Amino acid sequence: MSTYREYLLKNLDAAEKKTEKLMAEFFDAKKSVEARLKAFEGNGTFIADQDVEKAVEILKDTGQDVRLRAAAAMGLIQETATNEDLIDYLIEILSNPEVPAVLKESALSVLQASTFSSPIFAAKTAAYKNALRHIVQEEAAKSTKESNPALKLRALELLALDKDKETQRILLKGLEDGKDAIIKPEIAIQLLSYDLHSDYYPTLRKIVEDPPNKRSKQEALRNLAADPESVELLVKTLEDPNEDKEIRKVCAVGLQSVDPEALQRSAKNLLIDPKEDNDLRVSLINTLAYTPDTKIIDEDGEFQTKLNKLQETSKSKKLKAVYRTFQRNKK
Amino acid sequence: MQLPKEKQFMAVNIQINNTNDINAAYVTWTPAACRIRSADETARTVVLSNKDTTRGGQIWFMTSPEGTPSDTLQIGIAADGSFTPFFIAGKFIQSTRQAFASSEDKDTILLAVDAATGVALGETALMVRVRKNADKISPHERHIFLDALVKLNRSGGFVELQRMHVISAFREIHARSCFLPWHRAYLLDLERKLQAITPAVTLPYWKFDANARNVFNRDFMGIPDSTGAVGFPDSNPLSRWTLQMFGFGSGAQIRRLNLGNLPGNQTVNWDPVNAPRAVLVQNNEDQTLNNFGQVFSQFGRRIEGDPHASAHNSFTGQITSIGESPADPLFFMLHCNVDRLWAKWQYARELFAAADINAYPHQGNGPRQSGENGIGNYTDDTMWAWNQDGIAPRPNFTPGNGFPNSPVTAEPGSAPTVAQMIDFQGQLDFAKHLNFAYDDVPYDFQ
Repeated sequence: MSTYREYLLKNLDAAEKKTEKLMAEFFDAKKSVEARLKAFEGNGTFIADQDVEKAVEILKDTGQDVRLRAAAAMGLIQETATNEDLIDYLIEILSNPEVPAVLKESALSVLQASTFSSPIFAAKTAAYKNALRHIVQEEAAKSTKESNPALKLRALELLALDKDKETQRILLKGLEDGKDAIIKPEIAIQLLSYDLHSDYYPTLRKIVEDPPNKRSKQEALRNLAADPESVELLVKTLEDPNEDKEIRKVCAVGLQSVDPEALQRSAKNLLIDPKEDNDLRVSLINTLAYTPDTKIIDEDGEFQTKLNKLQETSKSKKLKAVYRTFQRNKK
Repeated sequence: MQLPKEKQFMAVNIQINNTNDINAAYVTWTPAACRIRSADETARTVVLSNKDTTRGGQIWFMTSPEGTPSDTLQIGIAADGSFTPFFIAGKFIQSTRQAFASSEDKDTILLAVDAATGVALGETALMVRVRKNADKISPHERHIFLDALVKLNRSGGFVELQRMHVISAFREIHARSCFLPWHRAYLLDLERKLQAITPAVTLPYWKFDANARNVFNRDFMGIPDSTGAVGFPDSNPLSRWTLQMFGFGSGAQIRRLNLGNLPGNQTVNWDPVNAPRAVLVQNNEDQTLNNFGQVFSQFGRRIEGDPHASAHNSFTGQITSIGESPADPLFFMLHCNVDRLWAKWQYARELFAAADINAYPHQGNGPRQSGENGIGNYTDDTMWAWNQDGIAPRPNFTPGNGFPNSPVTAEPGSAPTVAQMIDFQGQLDFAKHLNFAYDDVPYDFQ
């Protein structure tokens, strides 16, 4: 046997003994809940049939400490590949308002992981999505003090990723009228961006004109990068010296996607403007460095000379570094 | 054959992978066929060695692929210019577990000296190019990886990969045995595309059962702000990462909030800088390699649940959704680690033969039906989408134009089979290697 294989197998043997010990501790009802949870952190998932059986028993036993039930659920993640009843039980947990959050969150983690790995999960997708919608409604209806924002965000995010129409409608409604919002506008925009529709653009443009906060304006502009009708707005914002620097940078990246020629035209003016911010210059050159076609800039020898002079006389290491990247990427 | 100008002063011509093509001068731990000949019509005995044994990647020499590797090799070359074959491999000392991979392009210099006089006759540069732990790679290795990713994305080459991993492809690529072989091919597809941009790039792996403070920072995979949007400084090429699937699958930026629940606890904002592992991952590397069974049918199913799916779901954002996850470059580093774990499990159990049902359970060709007993899940089946087979039950779209070529090897061809992914290092037939390797999975010499 090769020496490396021998070493590997010896290590694995030691790991197996350690796992067995921790697994026994987790199932030892005489131990404290804290000690059992500590053991769970290192015992890996439940694989042996007898361990799976015992874990399912703990999960379903409402008399057990809820933290132990939550841990048992987590350890059954591989069991959802074959155990339909377990999936049904976990979905029920999500929909049950009486279940404590700690168990609900474990169930959510296991079910979402199962969407990646379980060949039998597809048949449960509709019920799972309903349960997620239920969580969003339930949490949105609660007072700020009682609600669980992390659970709400996780459920909302998964629905948005799934391009759930009702979720998109709720998010858009919240953007159009703040009193209907169930989540911060900047996050709502990010979640809508998972399935960006052109009919969102008027709302995004309104947010740019009258933003509820700076971050929402930034997110709205970022997501207008696929909208040819917003080129003028992106250019205007990029060229506005009074605008926030981060917002201007977002506009540059957006223009790179939607109208790279417009980006180059603006960049030519901004880069050689002596009053312009150095950070913005760095950002612009970096954006140009990753723009596949920079014909407008490449054909302007006078501008190239000025840009070269700018980097030669600049004391900014960042600017010199991005200029080198720009030149390297042009080759 | 015309020698390149820079080599014309040399008294010998040395070819790595039997070619003068500098884009083919890349080796892994697997023996690579090389050859040397006289360039000045003089017969000699030459000694081959590493020019600098203190830095750069190091190689071993053999007279045959089955031979015992050594630090030097003495061979004769004829005056008539005919080639003398020899073999090299990246140096991996099993007893001390030392791997001598390159950290920069062509930092390995193969030197040929005259055995009689000690005079240098010629040299050639190459790279011992293997996949490494993302937490340990150098800033240079990190930069060229990210830079190539962004260039690929900007040129439109990345979107094809995203389209191969959409939700409607789920039944073809997930939740069945081909999950591991398919994703091995998928990773290699990306790696070859990146290497076409920057040849020294390899995919780094995110070892999700360990602390990864050097991965989750602004210079590498970025840090989310309070909204979940991942930010990067201008010095990070990913600051120019924009998603190309508007209205199709992804938004304009990466969202990845470190939000997940610890066992027995409520959801927390976990801190990847200090966390001992990704929050949801339960099986560490040893448990994965040891507890998941002796045969692939058990191992493949278990690893897909945990640690694979758990690593995906240790966050919120694109990475938690099958169809969107490749939008986040972390996806590829996550899967690279899953693939490494499979490679290490294969190595530990010596399961390299595709024809061995313990190495892969479904032999031959599968019938045109979906699921575990269907097409795409058998050793001799070609894999969607590289095979351009859009006939049901396979997805009815076929992104891309087949599997990318490599200057180093003709394997696996434009339409890889499941079987071709099993013995990726060519352990049973070195000529069938796929020209990738991991820094902690050696090649066994006979």
